[in-house]
Amino acid sequence: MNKSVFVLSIILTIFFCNLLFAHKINLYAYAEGKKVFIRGYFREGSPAKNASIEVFTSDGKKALDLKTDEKGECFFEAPFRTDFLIKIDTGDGHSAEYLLKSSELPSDLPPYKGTFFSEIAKQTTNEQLQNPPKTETALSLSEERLRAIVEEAVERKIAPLRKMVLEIEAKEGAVFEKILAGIGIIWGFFGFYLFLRMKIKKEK
Amino acid sequence: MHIAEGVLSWWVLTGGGVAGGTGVAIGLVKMKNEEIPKVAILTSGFFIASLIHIPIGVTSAHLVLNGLTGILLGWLSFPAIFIGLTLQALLFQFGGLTTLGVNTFNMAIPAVISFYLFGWGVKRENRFLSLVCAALAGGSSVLLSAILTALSLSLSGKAFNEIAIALVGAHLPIAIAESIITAVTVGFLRTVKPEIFWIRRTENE
Repeated sequence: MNKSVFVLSIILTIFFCNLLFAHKINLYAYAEGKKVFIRGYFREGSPAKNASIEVFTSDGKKALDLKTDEKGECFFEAPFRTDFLIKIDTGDGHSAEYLLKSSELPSDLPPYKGTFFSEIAKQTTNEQLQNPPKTETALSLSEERLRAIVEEAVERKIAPLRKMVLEIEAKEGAVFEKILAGIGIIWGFFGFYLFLRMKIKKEK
Repeated sequence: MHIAEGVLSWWVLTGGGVAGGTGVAIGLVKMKNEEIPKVAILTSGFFIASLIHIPIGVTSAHLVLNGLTGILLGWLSFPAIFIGLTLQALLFQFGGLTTLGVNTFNMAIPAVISFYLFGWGVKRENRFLSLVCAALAGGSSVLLSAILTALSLSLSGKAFNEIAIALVGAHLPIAIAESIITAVTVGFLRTVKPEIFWIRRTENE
């Protein structure tokens, strides 16, 4: 009677573990036009609040230091088109990385030349002062400008879809099966280990 | 508590690897064949326990169960926790693979310490003493693991005081939960299968 209670309680524990399960910090980012949205959260859904975010450019230089808000989110405006490596760190050993590819950013952003955000910001303002944007009529819409407009519109439509896909990808799947696999491997390993030891004992 | 990849400096990883590896070797040498099923049970328990999460403040913390593992296994906690951590890293990407040594050491050495500090009391006839020792083992092991984790992180360049306070603080509720769980489990085992304690006693006393 006592033994079966023990076994039953173990089985019930395994089932209930499915509800309160694994945490690992997760990070993803997506771009809507120039704006890059970043979100950090733990596998069971709780947001990574006030976590420090570091944004690196494709040559490894740190471009920005940010902090996530109460919802675990933050954003920045990309001034040029490059791969951004985004890192999150909650300070207690949890960290994760996400690479935002330059292909997600609009193609009319200037390419990365190796200078930092603040300098780029200064550069762009100077350029804007010296070269004010040309007014265009419908007839003289350049192919480039048209391409950028279409891209922006498509990107705006795709961004929520991309966010959905990332969230689905990030959810931990098959937890119960993995727990069973882990327990099976543990018993298999120890069983085989015991077998080897008994074999050695017999040979002695 | 499960330190991820890419957070620690290489020399902390190496030192942790040596410390963890030594512990595992000691555990394997001391392991008797009759104890292997017991080790397997506690490895499974440890494996599952770390998957139970409680969001606390900024971060979230998980059960460790190294106190219970320590009382029942002593030095055998090292191989048990090592295998548990390896499978967690492989199946759930929980904790890194390069950090296995450090994580094993941080979680297993408090288990061994609990065995020496509180193991004797758990095996006594006096049920109250036994449960108190079990509770103390459960709570202290978690907190010691948290401190060692903070130490590992600080040796890799982070401010020790802030992390230590954050980690220990986050694990205080866990420590309380674990002391209760450990005491209840020990009480249950004393009733149902007291041999589980006596086996180790005949080896070590």
